[in-house]
Amino acid sequence: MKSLSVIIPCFNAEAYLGETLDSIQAQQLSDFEIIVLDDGSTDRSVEVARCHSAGVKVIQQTNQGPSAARQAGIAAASGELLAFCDADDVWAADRFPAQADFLLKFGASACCGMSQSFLTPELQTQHTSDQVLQSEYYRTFSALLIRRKVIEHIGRLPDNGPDIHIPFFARLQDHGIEVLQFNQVVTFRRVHANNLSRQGGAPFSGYARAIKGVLEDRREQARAQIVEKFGS
Amino acid sequence: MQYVLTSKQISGEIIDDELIVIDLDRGLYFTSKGAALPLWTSMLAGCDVDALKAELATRSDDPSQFIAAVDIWFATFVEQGILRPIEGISAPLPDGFLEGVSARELHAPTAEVHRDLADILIYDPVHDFEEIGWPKQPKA
Repeated sequence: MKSLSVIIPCFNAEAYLGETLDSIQAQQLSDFEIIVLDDGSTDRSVEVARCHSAGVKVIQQTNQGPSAARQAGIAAASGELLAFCDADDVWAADRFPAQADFLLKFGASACCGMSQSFLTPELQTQHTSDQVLQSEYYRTFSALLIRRKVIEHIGRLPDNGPDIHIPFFARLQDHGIEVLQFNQVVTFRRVHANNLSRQGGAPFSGYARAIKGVLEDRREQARAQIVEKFGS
Repeated sequence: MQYVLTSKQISGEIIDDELIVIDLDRGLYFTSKGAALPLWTSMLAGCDVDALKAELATRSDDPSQFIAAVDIWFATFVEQGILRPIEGISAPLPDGFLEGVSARELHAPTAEVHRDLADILIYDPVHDFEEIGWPKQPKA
């Protein structure tokens, strides 16, 4: 059993995946595995992953979205601790073992570090970097370190579209699992032209649907508890 | 009387039978059902709220109680900093905007305020997955 599994869901990320893998392999880690879960890429993502180094395990599936890709990555992982990385993110050089030490020191189930955004180089001429260069604490998969047994305890990841972090972290909360805050930048998140458009208040329609999913899950659980207690 | 959203970080969306209003700056969300759905939609279209209330109240068994409930509903959003009243030229009520909606579906709304997901909703708005690829390549 490895101590850490890094799960990278990937879809058409050939331009950035190599840099992402470099940043993970540069960590001071000896007992870890990297799993690239390719979600039906139509570009050279698989080739980039396979050619990168011998330590990268590549799993391919037909395109099912990031949630299914993460789920498949979890199923294939052997690490006691799980970390996730988007296929275009870059890990901070000193992320590990610092984040793992923090988690183990406090005996925590999970912890989230800070994220810092950066403009992908193609955009440098179009936007000023002060739009996005800030360190923030966000509940995201990319900044998360979690014990595998916790993930197994809460069950299959909700399949709820692009804003999957909302039902996932809500489920942790509903299970009484505290996510500690690790005050160190652990990941650099790439900002593209397209996701810049989400700044400034564009409607985040996925959020409402994700919240609705959380509410319906909770209502269903409440109904089930009533039936269990009083009968149908 | 009309109302507008106070911030671009606030959005409201109807999902199935429920209105979900999210304040991303504060990580709050509000849920409402019943008459909240046509009220919210028509309000955002610039319709006069008093005319809306009057039209909806005709479907209620107790119009005065219904109107009082709607007033409280709007007041909740104003107190919470979600809506701001404005005066201006109102848009007419859309023709047939209640067509096919039963009286049962138009029960008086209440606004429930939720703070349980604040840590999650105050979230990085600059990174997301795209249907055609993660990340989506910038347009040439």
